[in-house]
Amino acid sequence: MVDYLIKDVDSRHLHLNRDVNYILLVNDDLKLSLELDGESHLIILNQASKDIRIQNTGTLKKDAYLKITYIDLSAHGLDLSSDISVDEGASLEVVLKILVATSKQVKMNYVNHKAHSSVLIDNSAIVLKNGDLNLRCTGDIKKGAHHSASHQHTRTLTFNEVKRALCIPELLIDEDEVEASHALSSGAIDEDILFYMQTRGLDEKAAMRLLIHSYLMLDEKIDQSLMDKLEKQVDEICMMY
Amino acid sequence: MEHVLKIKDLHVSVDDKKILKGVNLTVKSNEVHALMGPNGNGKSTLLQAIMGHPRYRIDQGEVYFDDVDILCKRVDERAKAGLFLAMQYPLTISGVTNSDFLKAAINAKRDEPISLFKFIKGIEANIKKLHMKEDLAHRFVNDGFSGGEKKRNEILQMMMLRPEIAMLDEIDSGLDVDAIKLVADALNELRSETGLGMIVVSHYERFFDMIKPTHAHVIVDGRIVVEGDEELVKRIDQDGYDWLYRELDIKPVKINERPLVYSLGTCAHQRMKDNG
Repeated sequence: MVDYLIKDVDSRHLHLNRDVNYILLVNDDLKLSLELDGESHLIILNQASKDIRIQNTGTLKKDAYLKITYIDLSAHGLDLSSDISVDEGASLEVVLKILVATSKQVKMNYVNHKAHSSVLIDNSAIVLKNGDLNLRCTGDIKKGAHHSASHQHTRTLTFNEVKRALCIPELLIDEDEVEASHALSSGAIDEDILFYMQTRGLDEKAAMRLLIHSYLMLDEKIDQSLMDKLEKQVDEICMMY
Repeated sequence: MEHVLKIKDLHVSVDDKKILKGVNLTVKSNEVHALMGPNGNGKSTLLQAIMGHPRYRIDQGEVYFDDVDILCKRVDERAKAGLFLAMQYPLTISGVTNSDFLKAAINAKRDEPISLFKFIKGIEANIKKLHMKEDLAHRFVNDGFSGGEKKRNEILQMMMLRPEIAMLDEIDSGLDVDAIKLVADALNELRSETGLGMIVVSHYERFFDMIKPTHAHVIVDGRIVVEGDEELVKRIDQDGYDWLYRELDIKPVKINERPLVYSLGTCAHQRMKDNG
């Protein structure tokens, strides 16, 4: 279990340049730049009560590791751009959990710059009524980044009357000896999955609750009060459906 | 208490195509009903229709469980009443752990939630019994499971939920010889403990030999055309179905190809485009 330090972000600019394990609570526009070596874990939680813009740029230095998780369950707009370059032997894991009830734009660009680098992206989104999601996720393996890997998996669950759920999982590969994949699933809850869950005794509401949790809750254990808060937010969403 | 599932003159359509054309069947506690027949003639349709899959339209007939008409019940209500369907192709639920799924399913049948201790003890014992991986509880439901693991997971769920009547749709397919024995042992144990009644669809006499059917039925073209006991299973294993077609002057339904389902995705070759 990672020991996170919870940090209220009170500045519009933040630069991190050494090993960090932070949960950043974001309340306003933020420009976050990273220049990391060693092992770091970052959770960026949007708590703003208005539309905001988060711009995240960064470099992972040789042999560094970063797991960065973006969580946005807010009812307000978001414009998120995340652009990280990964150096030789470095590994980047990205997790996105996003609830879309209004307009949200996410632009991700992760570059395998040097050999033996690794990028792993796992995006989950729930798009509610009137939600408008524009998610573009690019894995870019540059020439010379041999024996590198770039994998991305995106899943979106849509409810009736969404405005748009646009996801573009993109791979740009300029090197031969690499591993790369992109997977996308998007759509309403599968009738057969719902039936399967119901055959075990779950009513529709309970089945939906489990599914929505699976999209939005974190797999890892973090600060209990924050987990409780997120759980409450997700439960409120479930109550609506 | 003896439980009874009674199916009367059941007619079922899928996409306006008539599949079942009048099935009558009664299953009681402790009975094991082997349901056989050529592929595409209505075995799975019968089980799915009893459980209430929305794609299967009931045109005519009645299904009672313990004298309660279940056709007007929701799927989860049928499950909570004590029916269980182990699927031929178990679904994957990414992001939902087996532990969360099973706990929610068990609690759906209870007034008070199951204690964590009792749940963990139960799932660990059953994982061991079925020789499944120890981390199963924390893995997502059927995600990355082999065909055999999925089938064993269906049995694990059944053992945790302890239904009154279980419908097992080709539960032995995809299992190796040892796993078939494990599953059969688990079914026999649950039957002796709880009086579980079963409808078992399978093509293999070897599996039926392990679970000892008390009744056997053959479905052809949406009707049960012959009934018997374990001897009927053996005869079909030896001689196939041709003798039945000749004796009864019937023809099986030809198998329609299943529609292929493709996953959607996009692949943007931006750089290729940029480079012309």
